[in-house]
Amino acid sequence: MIEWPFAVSVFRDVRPDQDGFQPSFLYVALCLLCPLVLGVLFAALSGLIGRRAGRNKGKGESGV
Amino acid sequence: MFEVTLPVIGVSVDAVALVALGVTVGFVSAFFGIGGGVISVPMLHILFGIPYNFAVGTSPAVIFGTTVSGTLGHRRDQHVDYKLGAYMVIGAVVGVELGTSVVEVLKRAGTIVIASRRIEAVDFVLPLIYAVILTLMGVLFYLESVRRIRELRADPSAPFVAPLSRFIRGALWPPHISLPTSGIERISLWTIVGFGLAQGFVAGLLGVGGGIVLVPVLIYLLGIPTVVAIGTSLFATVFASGIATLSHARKGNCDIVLAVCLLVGSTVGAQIGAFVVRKLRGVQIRRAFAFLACAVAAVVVLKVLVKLGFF
Repeated sequence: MIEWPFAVSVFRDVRPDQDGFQPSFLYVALCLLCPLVLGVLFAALSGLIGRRAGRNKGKGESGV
Repeated sequence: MFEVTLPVIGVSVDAVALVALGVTVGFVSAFFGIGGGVISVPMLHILFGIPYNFAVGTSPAVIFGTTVSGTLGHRRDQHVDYKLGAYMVIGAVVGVELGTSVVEVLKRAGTIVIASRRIEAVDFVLPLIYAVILTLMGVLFYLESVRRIRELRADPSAPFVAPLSRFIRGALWPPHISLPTSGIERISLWTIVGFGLAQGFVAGLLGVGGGIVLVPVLIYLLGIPTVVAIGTSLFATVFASGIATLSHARKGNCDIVLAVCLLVGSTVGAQIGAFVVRKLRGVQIRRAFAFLACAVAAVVVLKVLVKLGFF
């Protein structure tokens, strides 16, 4: 089982007296930055794979 | 198999199963040109027991990553109307804040009594809104696909005509703008901002990107070409989901570990979905979507009934 003792400061409840989890500024920033970095990384990877496979189409082109 | 503790929600779940759900969400997202939240939120609650406020709060982070990746793909193919997307973002900013505020009100409402059974207000109201929207979209898509198939049988080269686009484009409230990339010569700015507001409200309230509402609106109400509608919807959804992520994260509803597990799976699933979708016609996709939307709505309603103790 993975737990997160090494990242306690990130997941710290800054106002434990209040109801629910009250996140730190660092945690809020990470919630936005992690998906952004992963999204750009995967876009770059899929572009690279697409070029190598000789196709470079965007996803869902025939769409809804 | 590979248990991971979700630090904010405080429950342990199977990471492999989470990634598998992510793959499914990514596949559906690429297949239908939507963010995928409409599948991931109810499934997180039904399969993993994640409370709705956390499912709704984490989903925008996943959609944000997926749509960043998708928009960059569409940018390469020049399928994004940046001007249209930027005006919609103005409305979306206000809409997201309104939507997340409604979630907070439901969270504070605590438990309610339905048919002499107690249930959390947030776990009753949100699934019902989901079920209504999904059923409505499913029925509309089914009826439209049946009509379109009849048209194509009569004349295989019949052009697609958006039924309400003439009326919507004719709205006279100034100021007016032109959107050459989308093929629109003149339209009221307020119409575009209004669509953005609706997208933002749905994104904030239900934890979806809003693509499920925006893509049909752009195609059927504005008459924009399907590929441009999908590319522009993804671009607008980047901002709507980004703002929704910040708003939910500040309120303690977003679990970053859950988001990353889903995102890793969804990016893989998106590639599989994009590969399969190239082999199908638009009308076949719309019909498949109608069945999927109605099936998810039925599962969501069933789960609420089980929770209320009817089964």
